Amino acid sequence: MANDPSNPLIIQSDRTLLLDVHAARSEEARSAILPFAELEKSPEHIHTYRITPLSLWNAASAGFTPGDVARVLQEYSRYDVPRGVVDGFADVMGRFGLVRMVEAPVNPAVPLSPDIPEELLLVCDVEAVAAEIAASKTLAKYLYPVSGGFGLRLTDRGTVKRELIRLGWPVKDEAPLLGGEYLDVPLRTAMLDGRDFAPRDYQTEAARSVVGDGGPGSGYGVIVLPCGAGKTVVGMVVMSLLKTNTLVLTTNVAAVHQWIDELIDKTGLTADQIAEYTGDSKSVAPVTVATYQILTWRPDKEAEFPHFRLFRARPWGLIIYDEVHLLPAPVFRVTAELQAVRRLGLTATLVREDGAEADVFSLVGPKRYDVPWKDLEAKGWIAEAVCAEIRVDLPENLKIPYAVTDQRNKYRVASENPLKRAIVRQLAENHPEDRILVIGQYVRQLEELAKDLGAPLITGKTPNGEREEIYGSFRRGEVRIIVVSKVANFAIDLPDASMAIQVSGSFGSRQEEAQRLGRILRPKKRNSYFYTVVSRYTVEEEFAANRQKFLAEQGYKYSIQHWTEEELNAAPAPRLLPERTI
Amino acid sequence: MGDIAAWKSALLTLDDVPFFDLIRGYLGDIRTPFNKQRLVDELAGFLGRRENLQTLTAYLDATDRKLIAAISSLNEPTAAELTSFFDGELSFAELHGILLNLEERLIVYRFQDASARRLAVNPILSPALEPFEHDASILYPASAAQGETDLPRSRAALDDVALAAAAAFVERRADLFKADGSFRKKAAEEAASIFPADDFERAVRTLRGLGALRLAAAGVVVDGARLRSLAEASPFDRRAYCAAALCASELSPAHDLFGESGNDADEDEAAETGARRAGSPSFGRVPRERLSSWARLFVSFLDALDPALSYPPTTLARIMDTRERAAAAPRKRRWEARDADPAAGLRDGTDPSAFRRAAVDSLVAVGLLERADDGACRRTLLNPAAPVPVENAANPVIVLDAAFSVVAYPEIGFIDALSLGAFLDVREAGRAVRYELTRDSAVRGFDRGISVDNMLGLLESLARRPVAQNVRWSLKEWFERYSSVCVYHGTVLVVAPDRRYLMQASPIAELVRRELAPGVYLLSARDETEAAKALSKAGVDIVAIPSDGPSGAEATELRLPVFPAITRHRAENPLAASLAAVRAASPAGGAAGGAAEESGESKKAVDAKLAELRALLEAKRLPKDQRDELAARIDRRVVLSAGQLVGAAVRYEKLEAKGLDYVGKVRVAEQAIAAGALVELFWRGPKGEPVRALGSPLALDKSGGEVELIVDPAPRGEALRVPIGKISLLRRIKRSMFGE
Repeated sequence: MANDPSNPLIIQSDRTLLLDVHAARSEEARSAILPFAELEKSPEHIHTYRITPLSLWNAASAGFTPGDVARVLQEYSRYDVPRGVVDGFADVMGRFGLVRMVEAPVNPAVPLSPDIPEELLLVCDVEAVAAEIAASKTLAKYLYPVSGGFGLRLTDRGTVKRELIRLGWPVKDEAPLLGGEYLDVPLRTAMLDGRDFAPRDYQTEAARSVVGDGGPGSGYGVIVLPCGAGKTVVGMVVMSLLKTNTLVLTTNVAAVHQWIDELIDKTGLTADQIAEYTGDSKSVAPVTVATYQILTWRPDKEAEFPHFRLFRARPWGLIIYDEVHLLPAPVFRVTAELQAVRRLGLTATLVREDGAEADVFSLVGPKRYDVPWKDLEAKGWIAEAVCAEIRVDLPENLKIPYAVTDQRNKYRVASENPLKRAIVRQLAENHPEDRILVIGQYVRQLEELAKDLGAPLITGKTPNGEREEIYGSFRRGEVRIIVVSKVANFAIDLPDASMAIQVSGSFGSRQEEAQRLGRILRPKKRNSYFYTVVSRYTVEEEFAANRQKFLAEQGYKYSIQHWTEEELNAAPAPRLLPERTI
Repeated sequence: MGDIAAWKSALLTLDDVPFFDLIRGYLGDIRTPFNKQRLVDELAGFLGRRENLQTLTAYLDATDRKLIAAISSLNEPTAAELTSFFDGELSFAELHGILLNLEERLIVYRFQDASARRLAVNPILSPALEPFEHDASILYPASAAQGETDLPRSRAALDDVALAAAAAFVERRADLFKADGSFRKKAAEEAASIFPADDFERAVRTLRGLGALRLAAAGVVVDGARLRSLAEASPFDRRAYCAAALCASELSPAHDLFGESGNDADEDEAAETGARRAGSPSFGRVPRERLSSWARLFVSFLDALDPALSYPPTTLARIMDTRERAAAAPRKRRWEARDADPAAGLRDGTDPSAFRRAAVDSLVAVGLLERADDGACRRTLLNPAAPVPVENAANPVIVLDAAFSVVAYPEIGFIDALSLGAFLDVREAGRAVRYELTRDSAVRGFDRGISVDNMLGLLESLARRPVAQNVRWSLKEWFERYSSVCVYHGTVLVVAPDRRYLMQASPIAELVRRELAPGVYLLSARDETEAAKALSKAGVDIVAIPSDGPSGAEATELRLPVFPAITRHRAENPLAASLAAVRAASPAGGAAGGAAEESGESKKAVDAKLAELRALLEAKRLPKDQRDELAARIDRRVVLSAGQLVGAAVRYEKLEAKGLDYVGKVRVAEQAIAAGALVELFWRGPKGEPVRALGSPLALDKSGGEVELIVDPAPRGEALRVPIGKISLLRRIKRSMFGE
């Protein structure tokens, strides 16, 4: 069959799919490929998806056959589908289900190992596969041969699955998940302030993609949604569907409080059904919200993690990992042991700078839902953000010191360029209607900016109570500008923030960029502005380029301006980015 | 088909022994006195009898018909030409054996013309053989092509986009090659992550063969001028040149990459540039003459194919053989006296079947042929007559986004893809190619003299939309930084203020790349000599050329067209018409080689006839050796009528001996040595593996209690010594009765 040149999909030999979003059937094609391809990036014209073994196994677990995948590709492909692409599908997908994890027999004729109370059975239908697994040195630590396959401890369920994925043998996990203790979590139809509440379509869809039909292979996974798109609501919808005791893990105390406030605001849970487990308060209730920090605390490097007991403090039926990309290594380990519990990962960015995305997916679950940021923006679910970078020269007196200092210090000199202060002041003046977050890396610089702007400052040293107070006054509109360090990168909900100015950052971290942008993406009736101030002709430009690329790959338009020292010293004319009506 | 007089003459000039053996075999005992002329006339009469013609025709099997058709089609070929035609399908020994049998059956004869001994079909048999002689489907079986009739222009791995992407990669990685010509590990890994399968290696070999890579101080660099010249060729011709270059590199993979590619290349280089450029020796380049002749050959080969038919490899090889000979014909006179295979020179001495395999593989790789799973190929619809495609102004051929990523669609023109590669980094090559604009890639473009405006202009014209503000801004910013600190390399002209009017003169003005400072000019001249010549033309009689000045330049000025348009002579390609007949005969979806096959009915008739002859022989009282020989003749289908089963008419000749027949093997060896005939021998190797050899027996040598046969193998190699006891089969290859 000849391919239609107006089709939206270009299929590359390395199984990358390029989706022309301007083509007639692009939305239809996107829906068709989502079950077996992962979104990698979504700039304005061509979105990139990738077919990976993991994505094919996920498709196989959802009942897709290699023929289904090939048909979809053929249907939407603009050019011939390269031969090698389709050839390997059957081989890869055929691996799924050859290894199954099942409950150990209740009354086996020959007991597996009577001294191990909780165990599962790994069944291999193909002798050669069983031999390969038996030969794995890594798996030898967890598996022991028994009649009909291999036995393993329940607590090794996640680790074994992860290792088997590395070996190329994805496990069909048919062992039952724990139900947890029953807890009704009804969603309200009106929030406490009387406004209507109902989850948005995509939030419900995302929640259902994880809960599934309750059968084997469902009940765990990762949801990727941009900041401001309401990931907390997705968590609440999942809770309402599963009706079970839930442990929520998040990044900091402020985020814990926000979760609790949201749960009270949008569900029928009462305050006594929700507990905070942090450094300040260590109570446990049917719904408990804790920080990663408290869980991974220990008195010394050799000691156990005492707060891991929280994982067994109640019969949890669901664990929610907020900002799952930040999951600390010790929590990885315990997550591997908690594979019998349903789990939900929430994140805005797949990227981990340590490259451990695959571990997140194998332990928490596969990515179940992802949507291009700009799609939500177009539908008005997140604010339309205008991204701009302002390049400013180093002042004359710093140019030579910058040239002669070592590479590491160069970044600091560039980041702390004093002319940035003038720019921040200018921007604050130019945007009198906006609620502004000034975000930076270096406390000294932030202190100077806070002084210049007469704004409160939040850093790592700011006590939680004081932070809450500042956030509260910002939310109430009593304070228009706050200056924050990287503590505000994650899980801080400041719905009215409409502008962010970042004056320095962590060497171009894409994750940081996404999170900072996320602070201003709550939908509102005006554009949001995201300014980055960068010293011209310095290493800061290189790192800025990484961040710029990341934002552009999410579909954001990005403009660059150059402000000179002379311009800043002269009486400045207002320089606004064009306002766009919504 | 030869003429009757020639056939008679060929028989009359036979030596007496083979002549009388032949006559006795057909006409029985010869009564004396005899007259050779009359005997030949009688033989002609015997063959012309209706019943004998019928029997002879019925005896023809598929191989016989193929040989008859080939000898007719190739117009009285030499044995060497016929061997070349069937190369890869029939071994020399097999073909020789079949020809001897056809000679013995009086179907084929040999004659001497001015230059060589040639083969022809017996004209006496014309009424019976004519249908096979003119049936092209016997020689060129093909089937109706399956699948789409509307073939895309390209499904090739090595199309314009892939070639340009590979050039862009090499452009960025001048350190791609190690000193021994292999890829550096890191660069190879990077290439493997960008290009599918072995596409990159193939593309690089093609670029090398085309002469588009050369050595420079920094390593291997792309010769942009040469690639631009290639871009000027039509898409069809360009692919033909690429196929020629790839084919050449396939046939000599062990080429010394960092050495010279042969004297021809040096001559070419000199011819093209006027002088060898220091620091830019050729880099695995195929000599121009070979590249052109092979490209022409491939075009001629493709012209002979019908896109509606699918050709098996043997047919493709035969068609290629005919095209090789046609291409070699104009040069034939140069070597016809000494060269048995006239196309050997054209193939640069490579083995015919290896050459044809590599040629077809290369044509598949560049998308001029498409290969099905069963190995059969069809020609794609890339139309040689079509003009260079003019891009549709409405459709973008690239997509550029704010993330500095450029996706080039396969529809992009070759020259545009090359231009993009000059200032973009290739990131992913497949159906579409993804490039990325980076600071380093832009600087590479600036180094090549591409301005920001040119870059933006190209991007916008190909994308049909404006470049994003951040990309535009970044390009300009990079150029500003690029221009603020520069290291120049090249020829610098310094002109005093009172002589600066000279810079208006065109010979000099054309050479100025940039004015570095008032009166200081960077020139694009290759060296100071060229600058001096330009100044001289402008009337400057004294030019200072300080001895420590720089020398050499990168610009390539080609004075001859490097990739000239390939002219076609369709009218001179008789094969095309012949193959058109194949198409007409080809049933939809079925094989079109039916005429070469024997029908079940005729086979039954032949079997009945042979059984009848065997029964007659059985009834005769004859000595064993005569009976054996006559039985063998029946099996060889030499016996047309019962009258030929006459004992006195045969002379027993032992041609082969097997296994434990030690004495027989020695006798066969001795006869072969005495007659100067070839032998074919089979034995088991050290690990029990079967070994076969063909060659001229030199001697029998007794060594250590065992007699060994010493054979000079063909093709030539180290002499073989095989103990007679070990030989499982020794066969003397009879010489042709016509003296070969």
